[in-house]
Amino acid sequence: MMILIGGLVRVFQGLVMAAPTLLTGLFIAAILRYYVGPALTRRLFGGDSLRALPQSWLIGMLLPVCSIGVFPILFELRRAKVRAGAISAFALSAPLFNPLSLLYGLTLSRPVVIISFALASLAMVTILGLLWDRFSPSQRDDEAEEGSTPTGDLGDLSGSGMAASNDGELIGLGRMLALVTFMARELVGESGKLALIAVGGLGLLGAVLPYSALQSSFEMHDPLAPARMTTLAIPVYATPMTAMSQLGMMFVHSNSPGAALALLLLGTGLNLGTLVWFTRQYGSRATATWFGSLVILVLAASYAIDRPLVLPGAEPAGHTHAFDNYAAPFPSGTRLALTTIREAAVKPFHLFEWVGAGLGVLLAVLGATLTISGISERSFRRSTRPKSALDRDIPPSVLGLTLILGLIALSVVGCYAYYPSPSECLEELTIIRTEAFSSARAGNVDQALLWVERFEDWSRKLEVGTFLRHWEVRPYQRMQGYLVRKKLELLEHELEHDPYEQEEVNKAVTALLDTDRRWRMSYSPK
Amino acid sequence: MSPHPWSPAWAIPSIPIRQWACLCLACLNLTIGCGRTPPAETVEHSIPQHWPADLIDASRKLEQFTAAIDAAQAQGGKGKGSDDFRRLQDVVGWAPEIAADSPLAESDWVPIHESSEKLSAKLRGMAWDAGAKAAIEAFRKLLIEKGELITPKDNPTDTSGVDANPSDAR
Repeated sequence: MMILIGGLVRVFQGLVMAAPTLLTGLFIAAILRYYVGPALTRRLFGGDSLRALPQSWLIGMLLPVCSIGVFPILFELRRAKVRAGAISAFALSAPLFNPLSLLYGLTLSRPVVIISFALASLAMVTILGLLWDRFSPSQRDDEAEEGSTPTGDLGDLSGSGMAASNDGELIGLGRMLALVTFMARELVGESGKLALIAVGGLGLLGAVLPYSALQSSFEMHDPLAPARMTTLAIPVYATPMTAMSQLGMMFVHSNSPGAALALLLLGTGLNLGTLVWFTRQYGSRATATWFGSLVILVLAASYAIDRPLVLPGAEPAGHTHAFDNYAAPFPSGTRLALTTIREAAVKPFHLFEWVGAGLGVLLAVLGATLTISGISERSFRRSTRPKSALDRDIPPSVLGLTLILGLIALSVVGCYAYYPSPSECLEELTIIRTEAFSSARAGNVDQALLWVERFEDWSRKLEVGTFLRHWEVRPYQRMQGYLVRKKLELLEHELEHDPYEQEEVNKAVTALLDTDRRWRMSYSPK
Repeated sequence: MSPHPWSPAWAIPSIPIRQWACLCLACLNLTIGCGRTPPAETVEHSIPQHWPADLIDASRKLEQFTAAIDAAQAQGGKGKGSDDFRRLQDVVGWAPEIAADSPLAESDWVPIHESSEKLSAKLRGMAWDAGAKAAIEAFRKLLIEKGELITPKDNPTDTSGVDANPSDAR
C-alpha cells in the first residue's frame, strides 16, 4: 500500500511541476498551427540547410518548455515535416535550458561549468541529429501522415498559416477561440496521455526505490556514478529549474560532474513519454537505435568531463538530499495518515506551480467538455467576413512570429520579475532570516525547515538578480553565498537529526550569524 | 501507423517499450540496490581529516605536506600523484573558503583567492621541482601574512562555542 501511495504522490508532484511548462508548450504549438503554419515552421527550424540543427537547438534554448511541454510542439513539427534531425535536436535541447534556468545555472559553481554543459548538449544533439538525418533520407517527404497529428484534425495545411478551406477560414476572434480549443483538446488528448506516461516514470521510481536510496549514489571519484545516473535519468522527469537546483546541490556536495551532466541531458532532456512519442512516429527499431546512440553519447560526454570539471579542493560531503524526490517519499515504517500524505505531496511547490496547475485543471475540464460535445477548432471557421476600409488582413505568419518573439521577450521580462533586484532580495531575506533563526532557536522544527529552504532559495535569487543587473557576481560574494548555503544545510541536518538536540541547533545558528553578516555586507554599496 | 523507414543493418532489434522499462528498472536496481537504506537524518556530512582550522593551520599543513612529499621522493617514491600531494592540492583549493569564513576583508581575501586559483592550475601542470616548491612557499607566506591580520578577538568562531574546525561540527 505504501509503495502504491508513494508512486501516486510522485505522479501528482510530476503533474503539478509540469503544468506551467505544458501550458506554455500547448500555447506555442497552437501558434505554430494557427499562425505560423507548416511552411514557415519548417523555415524557422532551418529547412534543409546545414544550420537546421544548431538553429533548432537555439530555438529550444529560448523557449520556456520542459520535456513534457515539448510534446505538443513535437507533434506540430512533425506535421510541418521538419527534418527528423532537427526534431530530435529540438526535442532534446528545448527542455534542457530556458532563460530562467540558464541564469540560475550561471551562478552555480563556475559559469564555465554550465557553459560547458550547454556546449556539450549542442555537440550531442548535433551528432545525434546528423546520424538521424543521414539514416533517414526519405523521412521528410511522405511519412508525416495525417495520423501523426495529435488530434488528426483540422488546421492549416496550406503552408501559408492562413487557415482557409471550403468550410471557411479561421481569422480574428474565431482563430483565437480555435487556439484555446486546440490547447484544451490537446491537453486531454495525445499530449495529455504522453504527459501521464512521462510522470509515470517518477511514479515507478517512487514505488521501486526506497526512501533516500540515492543519497550517496553519485559521489565524486565514483567510477560508476555517471553510469548509474544515466540509468536513473531515463525514467526521470525534471523541469529545467528542478534539474538546475539539483545541479546546484551536486556542486555544493562535490558530486560527480559526469553524473550531473547525465542528469541534465537525460533527466531533463527526455522522459518515458519522449520515447513513446519517437516509437510511435518512427517505429521501435529506429527509436531503439536513436536512443542507444543517445545513451552512448551521454555516457561518453559524462565520462569525458567527470575528472576535468572537478573543482580544485572540492570536498565530497558524503551524501546529498538532491535526489530524494526520485525515490519513495516516505521512510519505511511511516504510519500513513491523510495529513502525512498531503504534506509530502504539496511540500515542494510554490505559488507559481499552483497557478499553473489550477489553469491546467480548468483547461482540462474545458477540453473534456469540448471533446464530449464534439466542438472542435473547425467550429470557429467563418465563411464570410464583413470588411471595412480599415479592416486589413495581417498575414498570420507575422502574427505568429510576433507572438513567439513576444513569448521570448516575456520570458526575459519574467527573469527580472522572478529574480528581483539585490535590494529587494536583501529586504525579503531580512524577514526570512528572522523567521528561520527564531523558529530554529525555539525548537519549532517544521517552521524552521520551511524558512531555511526559503533562505536557500532567496540566496540564489540574490545572486541571479545581481548578475542580471550588474552582469557580475564577485568571487567574494559567490564564496560567501556558498558558505551561507553550506551552513544552512548543516542547520537543516541538525534540525532533522534524530534524536533532536537543541544545543546543536543553537550552535549551527550561531555559526551562521557571522557568515550571514559578511555575505550581506558584500552586497552593500561600497 | 507505418514504422519509420530507417532500419539500418546495425539497428538494435525491436524491443517493446514494456521490456525496455523492465530492463531499465532492473539496471537501476542492480546499480543502486533495492534494500533498505539508512534514514537521511542519521547520515553525517563527512569532513576530510586534513581540513585546516584556519589560515595559519593551512600554511602549517602545506609545509608538512611539502616536507612529506620531498622525503618520499628522496626515498624513490612518487612526488606528484602521492596521497600527500593530493592533500596539498586540497589545502591549496580550500584556502579561499577558509579565508572567507574568517573576518578578513574582501580586499585581503582576493589575493588568496587569485593565488589559490593560479597555484592549483600550476600544480596540475608542473612537475614537483624547485619551481613548484617556491610557488607553494610564496602561497604559504601569503596565508601567514593574511592569517596574522585576524586576531583571536576578531574571530568570533573562537568564542562562540562553535569549533573552528568544521570536522568537529556534526
